[in-house]
Amino acid sequence: MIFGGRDVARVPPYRRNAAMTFESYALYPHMTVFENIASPLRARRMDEASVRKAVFDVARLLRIEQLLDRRPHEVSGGQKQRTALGRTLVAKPDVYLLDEPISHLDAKIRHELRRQFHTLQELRRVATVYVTHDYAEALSLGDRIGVMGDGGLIQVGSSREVFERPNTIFVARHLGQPSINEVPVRLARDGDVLTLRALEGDLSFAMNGSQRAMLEKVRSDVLVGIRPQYIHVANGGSTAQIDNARVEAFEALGATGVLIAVAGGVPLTVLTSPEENFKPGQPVRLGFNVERFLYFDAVHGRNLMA
Amino acid sequence: MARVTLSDLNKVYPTRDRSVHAVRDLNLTVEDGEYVALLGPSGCGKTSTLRMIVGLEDITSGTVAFDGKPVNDLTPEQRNVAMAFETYALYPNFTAGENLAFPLEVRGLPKAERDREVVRIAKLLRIESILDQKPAQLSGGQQQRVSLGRALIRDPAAFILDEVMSHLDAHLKFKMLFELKRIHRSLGKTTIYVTHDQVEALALADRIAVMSNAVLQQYGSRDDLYHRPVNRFVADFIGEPPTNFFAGEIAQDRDGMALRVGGSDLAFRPDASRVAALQRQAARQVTIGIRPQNFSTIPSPGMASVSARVILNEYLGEQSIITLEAGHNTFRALAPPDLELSRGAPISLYYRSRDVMVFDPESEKFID
Repeated sequence: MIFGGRDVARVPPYRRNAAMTFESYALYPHMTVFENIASPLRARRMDEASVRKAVFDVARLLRIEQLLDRRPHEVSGGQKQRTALGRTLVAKPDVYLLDEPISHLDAKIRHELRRQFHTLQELRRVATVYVTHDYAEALSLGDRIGVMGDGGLIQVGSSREVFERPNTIFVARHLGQPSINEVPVRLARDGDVLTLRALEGDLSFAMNGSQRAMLEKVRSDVLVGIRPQYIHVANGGSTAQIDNARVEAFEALGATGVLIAVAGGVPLTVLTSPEENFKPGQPVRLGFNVERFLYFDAVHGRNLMA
Repeated sequence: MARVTLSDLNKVYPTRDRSVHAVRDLNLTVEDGEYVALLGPSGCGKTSTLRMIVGLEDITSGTVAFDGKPVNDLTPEQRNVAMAFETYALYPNFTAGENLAFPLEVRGLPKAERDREVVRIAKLLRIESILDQKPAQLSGGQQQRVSLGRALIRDPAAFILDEVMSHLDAHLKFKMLFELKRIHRSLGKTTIYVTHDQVEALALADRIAVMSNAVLQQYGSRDDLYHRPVNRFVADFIGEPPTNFFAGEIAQDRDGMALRVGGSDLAFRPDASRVAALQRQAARQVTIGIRPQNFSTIPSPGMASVSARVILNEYLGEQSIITLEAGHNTFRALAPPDLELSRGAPISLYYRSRDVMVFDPESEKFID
């Protein structure tokens, strides 16, 4: 493990010059917000004037300058988290390590802190490793995202790479809410036409374009991944559509609506506007954005186009 | 099965220095078979309310009635309300099936009848295949279902769920939302669901009671809360990403009424139906609210527009959240994920005037 050219594998944590923020803020309960933020500088025996300047600068940045005299139990969860972050930032380390720093705060504060993470020059300048289980946080903040599973790294890439070109079905499943639709299919050739035919149920898509050329070479069964945002309720005229789907359930959530529709016996999740009002049993016509389909090896789950 | 009525309900916790008024003059009716969510931030009084309904907490004043009959003096057992908690509270030494059967065994039901009921509930919850397993062998979602099943199997008058999904991971929570809805549909039981998570409340409930500071703020459907929030608190609490608010003032130009935002060129057009109410306002100052999803980057007929500068474009896969700046104001809008926007780029955003919410800055009440 190398930090700035120096092998730190045998260097104890306190000498690696990394600063860490945890999900549990780990603040000193008997110290004020000011003293909590100042603690790494005190440990370095920095002079009082420099400590004050450094703490005020960071507090202003995080908008907690009016809380500096309070103790941790007198401030809200979001403010505690900002205090912990302030203590991390003030240390001016070589590396920042942030472990689920905002995951148990409520939605409004999460949005606010995410914006601050984007705009803090310090975090943008110094190498930062940010651990989260929330894919939206990862996509929002990461220059690159390392998706982990089974103790290993499965894919490393930009937000768009990991979301739009996941290298395995595992990555595709873990990014995205609601989850990607997975339809196991068999490739069938009807004369000139290459068709994807669902193994269970009566659902098929005719293939053309570049995807067809790639699929022509595939000998095994294929798992088709269709993100809910690439299916829509169509008024007719879509190139790929299923006319006889039926609504199973519909929920208007916050900014989106989620429709579960059954097409040829296959249940599909569709992302819609929350202002829709689909009733169970209602017939719907579904349109598919076939260019955005993902294709995975049905056995190993590898992306066939990656 | 019961209709639950709360009338002038109060809960005061006496403490040494001062008493804490946890629930204040609460009036609420849950119709027979209705699914109602109690939603609010921590400390809003929702849990105290729930505990008074179940009978775990003394009522300071007011009445809790089931089908019109007051139950204030009845014990929790006599009220016959079933409750499921955030923690599953399953017996670790019992199998899932034994956990389900336990409430029936306590009541002295014969074995054949117990078995029949367990199978019926297991089928409903789709846990037939795990009845022989102990809780430790089950996933979080399966444990949650067994816990729900144990509450359901008692055939209670009402069904109370307290933050039952708050520690499930996002994917599981999503599945359980649809499961709970399906179960509720097939049972048609009066259900009161307590949560701090608005997505759960909006997805599940027929009506949602939003509480804050011990007081019921609004009781209505998702559409009511989204489109006609009674006050700024509700408009702010309901919605993710958070609702944008601006301090503005009522002005008039050649196109009609405009709500000008201080310190910027922003001006919003109020809906024609609200102009009269706005004209009646004594003060010209207003608070303007508009939700991020109600901005569009593409114009449609009948839409008005504002201009701003992009300061942040967060790609989130299904969508992007763009943070914008206009004068001293920053606000957010949802945009399609394929839009490439660079920092500082000017952008026009379109909205429908019916989505512009206006509040009195003093009382914070919705002006309609």
